[in-house]
Amino acid sequence: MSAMAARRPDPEPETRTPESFLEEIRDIINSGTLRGAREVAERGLALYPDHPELKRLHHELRPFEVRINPEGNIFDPLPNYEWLKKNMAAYIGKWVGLDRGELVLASDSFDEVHEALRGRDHRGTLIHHIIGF
Amino acid sequence: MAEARIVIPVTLESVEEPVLAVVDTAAPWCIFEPIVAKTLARNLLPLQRHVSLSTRLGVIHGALYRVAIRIAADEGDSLNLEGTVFLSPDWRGPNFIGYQGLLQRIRFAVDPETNLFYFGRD
Repeated sequence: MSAMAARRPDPEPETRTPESFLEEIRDIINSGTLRGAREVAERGLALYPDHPELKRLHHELRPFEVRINPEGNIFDPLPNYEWLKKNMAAYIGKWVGLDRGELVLASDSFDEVHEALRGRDHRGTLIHHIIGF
Repeated sequence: MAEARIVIPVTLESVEEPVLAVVDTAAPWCIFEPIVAKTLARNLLPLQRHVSLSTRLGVIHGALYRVAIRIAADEGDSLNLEGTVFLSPDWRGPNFIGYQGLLQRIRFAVDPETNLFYFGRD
């Protein structure tokens, strides 16, 4: 038997508060992962089953779903990429809305570009902010 | 010389048009530009407020959200999934698709020769 298998988790000290569980979850998330966070919420709920924030986090940290969407495809994106490659130097700082390789609108405003593309077939459109980074 | 990057179009809930995002296996979360973020955050409650993220632009403070994202294919099947997205009004970089926040939930590969990004669920 390995040392790992023989080790039993310590029972939660009775003095643990809901806030201590929330803080542990926050620390996990701030370390750049969600791994283990739901389990902490679960342990907290074992002691405080009606705590609203622990319940909410337990729900928010539920397993993530990935579904195939055969209807969600886009048209060939190359014309939009080609437009960007050829023209981006002239549009630094702008939001551009493209439709199958054609510029629909270049603007300082994301909302204007978003609006200008409304009603077009989304399979051919693209919004991009041309920034130097 | 321009830096080589893997950039893919993704569609977010509440923004119908695809936006481009840089695939970054070193980024923990997905990150979106503040104006895109604003559109998203309007309709969502944060998974966690007061989250810090260390970036090449320094430490940024924001909130984490659970967001429906579509990675659209031009051949084969597209995927609908939920990403963990960091939103901050202080972010000044482009959109990123991060590892913990999305990439580790799918299978993916890159063919640098043909500049193609392959992805799937199984």
